[in-house]
Amino acid sequence: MAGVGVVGGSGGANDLQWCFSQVKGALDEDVAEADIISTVEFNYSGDLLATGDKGGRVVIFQREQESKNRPHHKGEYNVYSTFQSHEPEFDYLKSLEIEEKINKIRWLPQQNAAHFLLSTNDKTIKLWKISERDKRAEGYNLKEEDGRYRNPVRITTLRVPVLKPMDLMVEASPRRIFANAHTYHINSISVNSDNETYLSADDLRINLWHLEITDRSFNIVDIKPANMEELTEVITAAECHPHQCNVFAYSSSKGTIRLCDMRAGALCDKHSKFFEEPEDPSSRSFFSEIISSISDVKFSHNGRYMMTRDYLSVKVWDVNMETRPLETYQVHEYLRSKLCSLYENDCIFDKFECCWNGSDSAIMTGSYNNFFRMFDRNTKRDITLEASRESSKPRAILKPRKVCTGGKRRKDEISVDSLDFNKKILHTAWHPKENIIAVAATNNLYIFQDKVN
Amino acid sequence: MAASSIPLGKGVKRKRHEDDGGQAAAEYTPQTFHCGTLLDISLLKLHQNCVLAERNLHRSVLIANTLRRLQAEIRWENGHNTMPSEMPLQPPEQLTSGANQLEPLSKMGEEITDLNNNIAKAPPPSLIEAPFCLLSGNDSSLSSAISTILQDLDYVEDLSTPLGQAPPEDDHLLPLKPVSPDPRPEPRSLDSIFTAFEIADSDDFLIDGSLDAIFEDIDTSMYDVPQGFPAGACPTIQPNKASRGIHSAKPHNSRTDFELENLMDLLVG
Repeated sequence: MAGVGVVGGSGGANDLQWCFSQVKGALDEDVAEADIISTVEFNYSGDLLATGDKGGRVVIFQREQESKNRPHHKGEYNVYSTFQSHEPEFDYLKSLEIEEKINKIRWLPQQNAAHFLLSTNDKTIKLWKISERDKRAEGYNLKEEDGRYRNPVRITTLRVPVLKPMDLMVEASPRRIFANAHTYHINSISVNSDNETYLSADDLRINLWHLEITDRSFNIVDIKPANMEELTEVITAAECHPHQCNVFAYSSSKGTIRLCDMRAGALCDKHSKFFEEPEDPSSRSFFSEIISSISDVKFSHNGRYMMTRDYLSVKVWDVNMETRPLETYQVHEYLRSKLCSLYENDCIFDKFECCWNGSDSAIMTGSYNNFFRMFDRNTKRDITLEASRESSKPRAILKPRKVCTGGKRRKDEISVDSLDFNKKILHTAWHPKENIIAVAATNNLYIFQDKVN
Repeated sequence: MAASSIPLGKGVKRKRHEDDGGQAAAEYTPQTFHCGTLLDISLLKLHQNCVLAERNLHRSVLIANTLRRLQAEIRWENGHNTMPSEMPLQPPEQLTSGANQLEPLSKMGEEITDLNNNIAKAPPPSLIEAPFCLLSGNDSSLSSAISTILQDLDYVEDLSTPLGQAPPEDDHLLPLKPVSPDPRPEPRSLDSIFTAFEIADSDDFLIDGSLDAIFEDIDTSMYDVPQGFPAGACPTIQPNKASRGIHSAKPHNSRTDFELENLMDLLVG
């Protein structure tokens, strides 16, 4: 990928162009609430792509291998496994419903033939094993073939069960259930680089778990005040460092990020590093705090940088520099003048996620009107693309979109007032090695690929 | 918008790309609004959040903080020259790891500690300066807005848990948190919304009973039968469900069968 701009643009012989590849999900205009995708995640190899939805289901797509029989389907993602991860529950103590919506999915690094992932709703985290079965045992001694038990008294001979081939079956089984550790809503889970532990974060606490132990977790961050009346800040996201298993970061609703070292103490309330950008007095408003609330924090693959997403921008931080971000990218600055309306219709509380590409040279995040934005950190180019059915022809090149903020509007541009704020792209994912991206647009999952000129 | 390595608002105008064709510069017309309207909107949202089964704490905190700013703004507009000194303050020397500090809306120049006892910046002067205020209502509309707030806060207060009820200590691992000074009546009633998020004995279920401590080094989750509220793993969901009913009928065989299936799992891979 050296020398090739990751973000396409007008001109540039080496620029990338993004093409439509696939779209998953129903075509109906009426969207069922349960079908709304709530999380998207590639596994470490990129061969598997998992989605979670508001109905508590997980759908895993697998990338097809190249085959002579289907030469045009190389690299297509097809359904590999579907299962119900979480069910709606009722908390009798608080008389509250616990939503089954999958907030996050995180894959574990693959260590054998089976695949493992963590999925979480507001309260409970589950470890799922996804395994393939293409053989079954026949000829049990104690059981008939239909499962009925044989009378042991009548067994006179013994035989060794025989393995016989069967149609490939992909099974998803819950291996661990990590429950009863979060009073507030879980917003993040993150697998540690030691492959033994992971953290889970809710609004006020972060817990550290061992993957083998379900009946206890260690509380490592607690910002709950002695008196809840003093509460002014909550935890919004948390992530483990990709290489240093003792380091993790968490963001807050006041736009700050704290880097913590678990070696410093059992409780990591004292941070090792504190990241905050000085506020611009000229742009301060009643909504300053709300739009500064960080909705996502992601370490770069190399561990040197952190990326944060607030309502209007994406910021890249050097983990060694706390005073200000290294880079700031405006996602949809034209919304700054509309904050009052966005506050009224609750859009200002939307939590957009962000992601890195495999080489950390580009970042991607979503916006409204099914737009999503990509920023190339090297060339400083940016592009706005749209996930829409209209541009969903196979291998069709995506045309860059532009929002007109005032003055004359060009033919291809869309004015700010025409944006559809119900079509929001909150969840995106980038293949860890290739230029393949997955974009969740309400109940549809779009997959786009690169087409190098 | 182009990427910028220059921090926002440092006197550098962001310019469009040169190849944009010299289109007219972006016109940002800030929306003017009434403080009172915003107050009403904020209160309505806060009440909805308390009523909603979901009870989004993050959202409530953001709205409550916005309300506090609006209150401060209205108070200033009503002729208070000094900053609202009644806002509860945490003394800077108080080490409250874990306790939240309020927005630095206190006296000018006073150092306030924030979440992790870092010295927060002095409140930006723009918050209290006239050009920042976008109010266009008159005194009577402000008074009616404040009356609405008080009435609504009383309503919220009735619904919430009794004031002054300190939540129980959460975990023996956590340092003791100092008791906060008495809050003002108004923010107390506003803050009482958060006491509704307090769950008495919320962490009791995190601490295992004495009997369980005997087995704490053994992970028996694989053998837990999923009845009601499983604390550990569930048995593998087998595609062939015919044998499920048999398990409960013959418990001693079920364990043997389970072991056998595990063995077959290993063989089959």
